[in-house]
Amino acid sequence: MLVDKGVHVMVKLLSGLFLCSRIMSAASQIPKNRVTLLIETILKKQLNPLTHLEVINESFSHTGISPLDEPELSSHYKLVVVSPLFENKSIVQCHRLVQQPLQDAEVFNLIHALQIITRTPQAWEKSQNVPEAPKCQGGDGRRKK
Amino acid sequence: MNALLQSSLLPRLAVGAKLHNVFKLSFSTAAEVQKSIDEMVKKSKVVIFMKGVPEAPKCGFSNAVVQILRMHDVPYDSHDVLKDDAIRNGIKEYTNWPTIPQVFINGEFVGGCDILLKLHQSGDLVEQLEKVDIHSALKDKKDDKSTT
Repeated sequence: MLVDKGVHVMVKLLSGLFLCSRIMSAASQIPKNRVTLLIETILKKQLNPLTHLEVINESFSHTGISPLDEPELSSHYKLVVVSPLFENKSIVQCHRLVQQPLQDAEVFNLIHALQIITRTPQAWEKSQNVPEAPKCQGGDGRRKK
Repeated sequence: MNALLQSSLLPRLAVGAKLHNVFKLSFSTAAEVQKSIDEMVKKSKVVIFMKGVPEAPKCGFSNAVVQILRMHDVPYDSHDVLKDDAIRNGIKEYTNWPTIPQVFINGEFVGGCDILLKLHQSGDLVEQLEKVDIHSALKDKKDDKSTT
């Protein structure tokens, strides 16, 4: 009887762990929502050649809202763009190359914050570290709950 | 009549505006906003457009810019875009740059938060400030390091 109870507790614990790890892996692999796909499509089409592109939706970590509750949340984004197009250009010019096609598609009306990191392929090979976005201070964006 | 028409076209002016300001502000056209932004940008050597005020920034990116400038200990003008939609939209048009904050040195657009952070990390910011005769507090630290 005692053994039975022990086994029962073990099974409960294990299933709890299993569920926990499933939820965690779901959170780390947020499915791409509409705005993420839109940004990806625009940049892939407009920036040629494109060595590397990451469109990271940071809306969930910024607001504390779960992707399970609001999968289409698209307030905060980070872009890591690597392209030979950035060679011999000022940082402002590099950023403009990324911003312009997004601006033309009125993406800035859909999102609240955008962090842009541009690198040439050589610089990217040397360092793949990207700075973290600063913590939200509220304002008119969606404050972390 | 003209003033009435204009203020109805620009509802932002009517909201919360004091009566004596309504007529004065209702004539501010897009061109006038651009002109006043141009004056703001050129008024001081370092000028920033941000969300909130340096003592209480209302956006992480604006806060980062304030912190960087604080480290360099340089004087600057700041303008809160959340207080005035005309400035908020006008500055984006002025630089053709879609985001806030925006930093200007000697009347020239330098960039937003990501760019200022990069300039700060690479040490280029100290140089850019020096070019316009602004002494960065970080220059001393750098010199200290190189002499010791």
